[in-house]
Amino acid sequence: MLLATLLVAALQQGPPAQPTPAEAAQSSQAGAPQLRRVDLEDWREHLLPDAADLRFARIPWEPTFLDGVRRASEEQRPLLLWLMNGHPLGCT
Amino acid sequence: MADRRSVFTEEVVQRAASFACAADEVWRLQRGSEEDCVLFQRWSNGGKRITDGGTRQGFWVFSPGGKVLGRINSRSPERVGAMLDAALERWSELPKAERQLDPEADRPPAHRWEDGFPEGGLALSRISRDLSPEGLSASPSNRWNRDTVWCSKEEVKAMLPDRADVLLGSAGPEGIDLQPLADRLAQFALVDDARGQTLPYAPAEIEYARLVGRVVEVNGLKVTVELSGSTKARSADTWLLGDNNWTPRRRIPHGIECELLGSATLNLEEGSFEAIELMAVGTRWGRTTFNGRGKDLGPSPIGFHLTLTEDRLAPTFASLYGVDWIPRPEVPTWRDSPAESGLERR
Repeated sequence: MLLATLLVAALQQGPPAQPTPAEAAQSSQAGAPQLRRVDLEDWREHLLPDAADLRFARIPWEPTFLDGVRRASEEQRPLLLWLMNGHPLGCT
Repeated sequence: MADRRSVFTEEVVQRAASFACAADEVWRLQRGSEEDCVLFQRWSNGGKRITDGGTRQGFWVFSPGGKVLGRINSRSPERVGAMLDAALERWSELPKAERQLDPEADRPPAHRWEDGFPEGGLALSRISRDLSPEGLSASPSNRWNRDTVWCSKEEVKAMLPDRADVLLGSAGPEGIDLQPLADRLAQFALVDDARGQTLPYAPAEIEYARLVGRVVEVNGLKVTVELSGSTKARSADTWLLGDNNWTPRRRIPHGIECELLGSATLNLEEGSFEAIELMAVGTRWGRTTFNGRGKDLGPSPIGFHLTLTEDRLAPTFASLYGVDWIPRPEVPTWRDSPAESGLERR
């Protein structure tokens, strides 16, 4: 009798609900830090580069080789050219 | 990016004040056949085009007339500083005639990816950073990177509802659906590049990408929304983005999933973002050829911060956006070296 009751109840509930994308991510992200709205200011400070990270950005870089050449010629100064795989001011 | 912190000491930053400074991407300059590429190759290679594969990365000092005054590829601030000092010494001995750019050499390139900057659209700066499993209670990792994300004015306008929609609540109970932005982020921005350049994802590799804005305040034409979303992308041993300069020689499984939270101020009359700040925290696993994960297949946590930028730097994967509003070069860069293309050398 108990078994029959459980079976009927299970059938009435239908198939198990699919997890939402957020639930799926949560379940497979065990161990990842939790992102909560109340912590967003702390996350901003944690994620953004600090002053030492951004010392290079205090230099007024022209964004291209040719722009740098033109500026060097105008200002009568030597050109310091920084080259990397990926733009040095972006993703390298 | 950790290298930048170590090289650019206060002393190096101060020394740089004696120079006109420029930064650029080396791969295109040393292999391309655009005018600026040819100029760089001639200056750096004794007047000839570069045909070998050796990298020209690092710091160079040129006179505006094209004379090499110094070169070094080093992470040591002392060695970089010494090179700069020696280059200044050579500069001081240079005749005036060699300090000018030859007007004949001042030829702008026909194409740069920056030409696609989305005027009136959405330009985001994006920071990625490795995280500790302890999250905020740990010190920030020094492994971080930066990039940009673009959406055109038309893409943004199409994404946002008109004012009446929001005020009537017809944006739906979940809020404003920012699916195109979610897709762009999942494909090109929420990628594992905190330790070095990685690969983007093809649309078919995005398992899900959602971003919605829940309206929290309406102030005339401006609407404030709280953003929330999630993304998951997974790449197996296939490359689905065609034959181009990103095509990897080895196809290595990797993936990432993120939760996103943030806020934005929308101008519904203009169809624009007046402000946006978005943070993502998640898990990455696997590796790509150059992203520095050879001994760190994970899974491990990673975080991202995105906000508006006026920086016109092109997104790393602009060439793979697959949109017509970003101009493409007539000659694809990946077939652009003299050795590969057979182009006539000048």
